[in-house]
Amino acid sequence: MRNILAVAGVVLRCWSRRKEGYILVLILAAVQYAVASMHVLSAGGASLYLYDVGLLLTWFLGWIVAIHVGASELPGEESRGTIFLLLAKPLSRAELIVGKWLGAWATVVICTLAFHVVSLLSALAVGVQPPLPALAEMCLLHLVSLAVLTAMALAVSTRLNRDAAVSLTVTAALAIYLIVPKIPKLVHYAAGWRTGMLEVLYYALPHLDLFDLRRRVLHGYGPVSGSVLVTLVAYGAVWAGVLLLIAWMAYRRRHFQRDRMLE
Amino acid sequence: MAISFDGLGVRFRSRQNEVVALDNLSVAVPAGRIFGFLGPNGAGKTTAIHVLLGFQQATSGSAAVFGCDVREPIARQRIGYLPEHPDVYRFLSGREMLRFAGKLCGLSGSALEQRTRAVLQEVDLTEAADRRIATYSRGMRQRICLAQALIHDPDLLILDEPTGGLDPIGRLLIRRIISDWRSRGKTVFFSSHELSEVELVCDRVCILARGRVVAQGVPHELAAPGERLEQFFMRVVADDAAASKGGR
Repeated sequence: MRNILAVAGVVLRCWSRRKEGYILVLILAAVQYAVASMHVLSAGGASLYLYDVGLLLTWFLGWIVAIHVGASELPGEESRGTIFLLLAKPLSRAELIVGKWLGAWATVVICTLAFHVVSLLSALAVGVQPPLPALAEMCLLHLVSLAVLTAMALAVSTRLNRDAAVSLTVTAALAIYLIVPKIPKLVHYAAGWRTGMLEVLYYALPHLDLFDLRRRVLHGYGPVSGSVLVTLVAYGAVWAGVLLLIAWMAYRRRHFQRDRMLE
Repeated sequence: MAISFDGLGVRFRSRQNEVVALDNLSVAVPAGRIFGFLGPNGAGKTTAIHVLLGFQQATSGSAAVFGCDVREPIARQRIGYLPEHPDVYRFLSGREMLRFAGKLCGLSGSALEQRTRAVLQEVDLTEAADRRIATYSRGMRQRICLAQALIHDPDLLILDEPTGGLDPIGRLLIRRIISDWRSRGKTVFFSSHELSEVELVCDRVCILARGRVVAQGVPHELAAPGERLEQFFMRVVADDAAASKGGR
């Protein structure tokens, strides 16, 4: 556990000193300011819609940060050559993977909470008062979904360079988010082995859409029950665990050659 | 033995041919010695070190440190390693980097702080300790990398081209650290192109060419009377290249 926390601490410290997160918060604040300005220009009826846009941005900026940070850590160690310093220490590869994930997720949590704060302040500025219990649940499940995405990006980056890992994870995450919930409808149009394949995909892939409670917040449906919330958090934790296990299996026998890494 | 390579072989397959990086390498490094691992570029020095540390897999044979397989994390507790072309976390300060390395080696609290201070002093970086590594010169980065290898006072120091990128003062510092290590009964295994450095500090040397050992022994016993280690090195490497061409 000591080693995991040491690795996670360095990941968090390094990202906190980089500019990317701060720039994204500023961009979001600028967009939200534009939203508030539109309200001033007597577009008052559109304020809920504009808050929806703000939440959507917050949701996907969280994704961008999670995928970027998750996919950058291991390839970054390799391109710098610091992987040799790490693996020459009494640090197992499992500890390295979990430490990297924990540090990356902690970075993502801080960034995403900042996005939500900016989004909430903007909502209050345009006169929208989101229900706080539902908002808290939405934030929690957003962070859980980001834990899954961070683990996914990390797993992909064990075998690919950073750019390839980011591209592949973004494509996979969008496909999962948009297509998996539609599989039950697609099954009606499929026949034979395709039906079975779609059903396997439906159960084998994570359901990122389950973590998206933006509609409940926007339309004031109220919070989900405690048991549902706990089940969803557990579901996310299991998926993050499975992806970290895949990452470890891909990484544990990985060999490193300095010359090939520099190419 | 501090290090033992036993019939170590490493082969890479490319599309057209097979490259032999190491061919039946057998070397034993006794504990408490300064051992020089020499060879021209591409001789297989770094590959041997990488196999020893578990970064690469051997095609045949085995490598061990103090009789243990280094792929087990606990076995690495006794090793300090300085890689070739080292780089570090540029967003950390030198002190933070050393604290991180120390924590990974099981140090904590006052012991960690004490070792951090001592090692910073040893590599002459005390004044720059709280500056970000991004602001360090190349030589300073090399020294902070050396410091992270020394942080847990290891029994075996593996240095891959430790003087590369260092100015004469930096080289003198490395030589002083190696001598200090020898006086404390520790083992230093280092690969280098700087044959004058090797001649000054090494008890034993091993010369590799094309992945094979072409000479091994005490430096002044290997060379003919009046011959420098550098001249001997050039001679054996040239002989090996000639033998290789003759064999084709």
